[in-house]
Amino acid sequence: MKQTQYISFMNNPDARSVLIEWWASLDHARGDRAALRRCRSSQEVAFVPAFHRLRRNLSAIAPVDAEKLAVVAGILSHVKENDYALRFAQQMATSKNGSDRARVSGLRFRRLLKIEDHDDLYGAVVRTIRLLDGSLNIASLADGIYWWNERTKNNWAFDYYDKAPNEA
Amino acid sequence: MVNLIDDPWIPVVRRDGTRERVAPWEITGGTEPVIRLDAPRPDFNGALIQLLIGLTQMAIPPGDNRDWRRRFKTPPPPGELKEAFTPYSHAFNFDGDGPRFMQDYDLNEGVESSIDRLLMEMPGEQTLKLNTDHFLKRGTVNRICRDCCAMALFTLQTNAPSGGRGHRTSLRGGGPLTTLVTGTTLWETVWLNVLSRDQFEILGNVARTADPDRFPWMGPTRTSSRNETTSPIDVHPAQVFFSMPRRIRIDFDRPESGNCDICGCGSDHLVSQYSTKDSGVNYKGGWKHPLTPYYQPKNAEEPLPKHGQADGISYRNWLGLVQNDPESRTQPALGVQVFRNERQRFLTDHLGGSAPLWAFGFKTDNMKVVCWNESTMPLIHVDEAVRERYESVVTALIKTADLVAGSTRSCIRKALFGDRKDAGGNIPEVDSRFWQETESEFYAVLEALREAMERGEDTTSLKLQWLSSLSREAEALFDVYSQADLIGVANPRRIALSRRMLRNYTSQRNKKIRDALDLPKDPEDGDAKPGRTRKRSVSQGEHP
Repeated sequence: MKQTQYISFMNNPDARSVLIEWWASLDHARGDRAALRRCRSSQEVAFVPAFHRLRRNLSAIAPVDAEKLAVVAGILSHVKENDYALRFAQQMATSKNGSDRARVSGLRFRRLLKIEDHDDLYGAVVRTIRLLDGSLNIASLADGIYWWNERTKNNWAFDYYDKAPNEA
Repeated sequence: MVNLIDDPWIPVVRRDGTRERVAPWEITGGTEPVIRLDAPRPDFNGALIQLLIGLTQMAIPPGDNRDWRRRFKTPPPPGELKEAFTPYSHAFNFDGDGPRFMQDYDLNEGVESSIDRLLMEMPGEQTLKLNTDHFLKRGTVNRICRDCCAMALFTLQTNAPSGGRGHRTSLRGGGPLTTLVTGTTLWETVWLNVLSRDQFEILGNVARTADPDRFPWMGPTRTSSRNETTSPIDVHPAQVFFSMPRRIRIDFDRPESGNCDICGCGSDHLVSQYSTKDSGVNYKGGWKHPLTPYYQPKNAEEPLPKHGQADGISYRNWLGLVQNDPESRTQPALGVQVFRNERQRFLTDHLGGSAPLWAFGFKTDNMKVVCWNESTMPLIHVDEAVRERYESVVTALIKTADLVAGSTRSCIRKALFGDRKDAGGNIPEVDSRFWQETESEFYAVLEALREAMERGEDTTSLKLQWLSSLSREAEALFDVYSQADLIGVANPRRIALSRRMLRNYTSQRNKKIRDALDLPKDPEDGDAKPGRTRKRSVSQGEHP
């Protein structure tokens, strides 16, 4: 595996495969998944051994910020299916069953963008995952959460409103 | 006694970096050539180069192109220049009794002014009275040396804005724009802007050979107290360079010792006052200065000179400064046209050189100086066979840049303020940065375009390359100015939709863009779905 300067799940296929294999392994270790789903902050995730397996595997690829990765791990435990056809923000804007409303409303989306801290992402993103029936782009979501900053918010906003220009 | 032809007073730099003062006839000669002027202020440089061009134009006008080329290759030695200038030195005394350079012949009962009023941007009477000299404060220039005084006086007479009732503007109006072709040495720069004898003589009445007809200070001033005008038929063409719209006389009777407030030199002849009076020469009636571009307004009888602009000089002014602009009816300066039509090929073919355009001027708002503009642009030589097609493509490139700049401005505004019509907040930096950041790419495309056309190749890919550069810069500016950095607290929908709009406006599928660039019809376009959006590359991540 080639060592890079920063982690990126969308751009680095090695990091992406490590992440998705880890996520898939939770299906066979349901106790770990249940433990992760009960966590409400990155500190709680740190006590789950499964998280540290992910952290060590990714560290071989690039330096990892453990605290940010903990938030990613906790949130990914709520994902049921990996649908990589679209990016996560585009999936939020996609309508459901022929309806003309986005599955995540503009109001909820804008509230999501207002969040500043990683730990505060927990509740909002988990609720968003439920709105998408747990089926979403894991790499895109992971990148967004790991690099939660103005640039990510920009890219999510542009993706969302490109697909749902009529949302409030 | 200072004579401006015989004595050294012009600050210059030689190729080896030596700085010195030379007389006009000394701009050639020396083991190291003089490469440029070195006045303490850029507007002085702008005026001095015109003084040298005017002197040379008058003293040794080339008879024809062969004569011009001979002197370009072999500059006249200082002795020859001195001999050519000497017949006029009697008119270039700056102080002493008798007529004085650029100063009124018989001024009496003038208003006393402090010397800083010779500098165009210094606070005037009204500003001092209202106590609003916040940035350019009174009392910073109290006394200056005779050399700086000569430069300041000539600069004022050359660029004079309206100075209140009866204080006349310069021959080209207030704050004219000057465009020169520049060489690698000072002599080359002067010679590149000297017209042939015939071209120069039609600018005035060559039969008027008396001293006051060339140099208005050599006789009683043609005053304009009853709005009398001075037209080209009334005086010698030399007055184009040596015009004297303001009636001024420097007070040399109370010299002071100390340091000049402009250049810092020590002197026992510092001056601090001058007298002035209204109703100087009123230049009207179709004057045509060879160093200034002119435009034809719809409702005017004669062309008007172009002036400096508040937003600077860049390739957005290419049309009108380098190339004809039929749309705004602007023509480049006569000197630039003569160079491009008659001399550029010689430089390109035989010397392998290039001569950039030097454009400068004040932007004035009546009496108030808003800013000084200065810029250089390359002048690209194009083979005569493809020149017309080349220039039409260049026009298309600039129109497209103008379109994209307008779209950028409006989309940023929409991102910030939505659809409100009453929103204030003009952001002039957007325009300035757009034209500046795309300038080097423009010249690169011009050069590639010339090569492609002279080889008979298709230019579509170059046009698309240019459009790609414009779009990239437009998006970069949008990201900077649209508050995208605060998208969480700003309106994310408005910002995202404005950005999408900007992409549509600057896309090669946009009809306005295609028309502006005159792109060929693409058969694939017919199959495109109306609502199709361009698919973004999967590899684009969301990381910084």
